[in-house]
Amino acid sequence: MAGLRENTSGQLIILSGFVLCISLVTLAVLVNQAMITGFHSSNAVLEFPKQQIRDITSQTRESCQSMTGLALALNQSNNQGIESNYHSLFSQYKQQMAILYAGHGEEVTLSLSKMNLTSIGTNASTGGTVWVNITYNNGMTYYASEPEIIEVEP
Amino acid sequence: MRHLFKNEDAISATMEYIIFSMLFITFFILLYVSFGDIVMNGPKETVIQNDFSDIGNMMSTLVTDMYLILPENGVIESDYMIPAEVGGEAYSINANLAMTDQIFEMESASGEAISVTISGIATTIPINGTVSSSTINHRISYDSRK
Repeated sequence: MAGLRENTSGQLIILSGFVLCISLVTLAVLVNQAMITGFHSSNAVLEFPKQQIRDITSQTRESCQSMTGLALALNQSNNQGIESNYHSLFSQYKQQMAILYAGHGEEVTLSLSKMNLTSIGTNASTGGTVWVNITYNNGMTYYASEPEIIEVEP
Repeated sequence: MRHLFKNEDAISATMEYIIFSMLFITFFILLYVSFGDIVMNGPKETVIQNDFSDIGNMMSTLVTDMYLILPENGVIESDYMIPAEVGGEAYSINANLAMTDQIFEMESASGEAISVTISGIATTIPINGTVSSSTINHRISYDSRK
């Protein structure tokens, strides 16, 4: 203990210790400030159901097109009209979509509001139009396209 | 000069005591006067600036994302969640139609403000509205029929 009190050399070591301490504290404060940024902006990208909604509309467009082909083919084999075939195909599609999205906690309702397919049955070169109401709801975001106008070709 | 380096004698204990006391008292007075600015206001300003730009970027991203999937005939509504207080203060978000360059402006109760631009969407679809952070629901909505 006597040697510790009388020994006067080694100030530079103590000084460098202080400098290191202060610089470490400054760095820690800076790092903590950097940590708090960027949460909300990245969370908005993740949480907003942009891809889901895009997927529903593009899938519905694609399915309406393929349902037209199926309804026409069924019209040849059974004696029901194109429109009634289309209605039953669409109700199956509607149910499948609702079940698929309900699995992820999202509500999707599709309904066929109007259709113009009479010219397809008579003239093979002309197209028809289908009006579909699409709604999507995941509790935070509500989307309604009423109607989505879809052009279909035979 | 060489003498100064070799001499290991210091001043008397009384003088040292007086000098140190004066130094400490001066230091304490300085700290007392500027404590609020150094310890509270500086970090608070940094926190507010950081959080405001974060929330502003969130709003900008949300509006851009909604713009990308807008229905031709229909409605889209999106709720979002923001902190009720930033740096211990409530704040408001303004999307002002009157401004030529459409921006989100966030302003806190103490007047701290930050602006975020939204990539030129406002030229096709005007965006308008004001919201306070302390309200319960925050919503952005679009209706093609209005």
